[in-house]
Amino acid sequence: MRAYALRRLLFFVPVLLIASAVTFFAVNIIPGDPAVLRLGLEATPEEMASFRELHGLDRPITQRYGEWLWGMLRGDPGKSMMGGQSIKSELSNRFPVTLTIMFFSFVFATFLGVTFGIIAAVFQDSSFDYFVRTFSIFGLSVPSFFTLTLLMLVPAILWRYAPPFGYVPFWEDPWRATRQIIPPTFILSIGSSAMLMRLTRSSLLEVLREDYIRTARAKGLQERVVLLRHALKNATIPVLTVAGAMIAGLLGGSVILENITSLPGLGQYFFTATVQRDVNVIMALVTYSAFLVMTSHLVVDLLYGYFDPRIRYR
Amino acid sequence: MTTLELPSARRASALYSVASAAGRWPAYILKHSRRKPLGAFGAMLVGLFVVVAVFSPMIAPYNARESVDASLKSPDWSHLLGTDAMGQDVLSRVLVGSQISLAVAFSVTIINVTMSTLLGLLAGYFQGPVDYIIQRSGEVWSAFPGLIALMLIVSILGTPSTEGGNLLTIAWDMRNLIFAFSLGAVFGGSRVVRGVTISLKQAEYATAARALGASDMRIILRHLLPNVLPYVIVTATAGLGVVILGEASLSFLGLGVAPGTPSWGQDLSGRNRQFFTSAWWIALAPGTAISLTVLGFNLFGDALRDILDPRLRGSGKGKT
Repeated sequence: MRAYALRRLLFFVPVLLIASAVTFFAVNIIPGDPAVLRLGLEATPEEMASFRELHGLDRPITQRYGEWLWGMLRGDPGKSMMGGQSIKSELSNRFPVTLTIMFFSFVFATFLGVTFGIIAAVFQDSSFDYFVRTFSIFGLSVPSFFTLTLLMLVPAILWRYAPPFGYVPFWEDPWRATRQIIPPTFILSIGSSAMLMRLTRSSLLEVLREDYIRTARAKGLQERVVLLRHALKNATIPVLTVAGAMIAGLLGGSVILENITSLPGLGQYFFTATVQRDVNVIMALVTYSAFLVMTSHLVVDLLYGYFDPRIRYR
Repeated sequence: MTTLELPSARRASALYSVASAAGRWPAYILKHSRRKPLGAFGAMLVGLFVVVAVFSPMIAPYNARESVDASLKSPDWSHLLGTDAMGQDVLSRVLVGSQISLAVAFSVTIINVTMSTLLGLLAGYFQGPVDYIIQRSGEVWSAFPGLIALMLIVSILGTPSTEGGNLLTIAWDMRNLIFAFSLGAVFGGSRVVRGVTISLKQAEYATAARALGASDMRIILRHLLPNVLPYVIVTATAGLGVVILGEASLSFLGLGVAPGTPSWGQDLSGRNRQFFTSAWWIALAPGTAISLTVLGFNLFGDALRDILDPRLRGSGKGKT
């Protein structure tokens, strides 16, 4: 198990290298000179030259990639090409915002998805089951940017109440922070929780038909024990896969949420960077998010081993 | 005796029954609609969406790209869904906006089905260096979060713009977007096909065919392809809704189509946003259009999955 985890961690190195190299070269070959984008067409040739020199745009691309890589290895992703700020300090300001969004959405999605999925499976074909099935098919179909728009729209029209948007750290104003973060993250989690509900329900239904469940019931175990100790553990495995993929999905969702509510998080940072072609910022965010996604895949794979004793990693 | 039947043979027979039903399709459709009313409802929504997208330039009451009246007029008989901030007819924009969704979703699906089947079959059957490259590229690709990868590709290739016209010219104008979505879809799809191919090529009928002296090509085309197709169809249908949602999300962010283009995602963003609380109809119309279309594809896809392969029932969908 430990050897397996180590080998997977080693595998991060080539994947991150290839992913970052592909991104770096692709972002740099696009037409459009960052110097012109930053300084405008009126800039003098000297200004352009000094801007290029400052950001190393006059050096060959392979050398620049090497320098970028060396910077990343020392933990310094460089400076923003557009504003000139240190990316590291921007990240440390913005990361808490995105982390809060992702944390709450993830908790809502897993809590609602798993509990509603379990109840729907246990009471199959009850009215609650129909509710869960209807909710989940709608939840998968309605885009988050539309539900988030409705979140701003409906209270404003019905009760003339505008949910406060923005970001204050929780310890500064807990009540305001709660009102700001809970409604949008809850809405954002609808899509993911719908997916989890469907999956939990169907995978639990499948497990409940297995022979060993009948055996467990036949030897007189309480239904609660059968459900929680025998069925649920095995039904968790497909659910885990989706929960892992949800991290990547919520990163994307965070871009949309931050765009709508103007939250100063990483998603907004990435969005502005792609529009302005801020290569250094793009590179830093792509690399870190790739690392995050790969880590979540690894965690899911290791959890498989815990939940399914048939899976042995060597 | 279903217990004695090989699972692969059962899947194949499901597909053949679809194919052989081509001659008596009305009865066939009726049979399945009665068994799956929600699926039939989904198919109706999908049908409506396709018809609207194909004929929208003809049925739209106004030019969707021009200001035709005062801005922000509430719905009335001259503008059934009102007008937006630019004075454009919302109904016309919603109707014409379906073209981009359809052109992108169907192009991506056609590319996805052909490429995933081809690559997946070859990779799974031969398991050589090509397989290795596909697998490793898929792993690199899966490290990028979906929407972030799409935003990156579109910003590199450039946000497409279109002047409208028929679906084929729109699809050609949208080629950057289509490429971005196809890349992800093919990586995912070929992995599914590869997995199925690896398990199927060890089946008795494949061994039997080989023992009879069938060539690799013949085994792949005559024995593996028909058994792999249900999986491809099921993943591709599930993917259609995902692509429509993805295109709308990108356009919402302003990266999918150039500003001003009638597109569902685009109409929910930009200048219109500041007027949403006073003119709710501009937000409601495109949002409902996307939701109903994706709902149609999801319901239809679920029914299709149950009909073609009962064992895939309720499994997860691709990344959004």
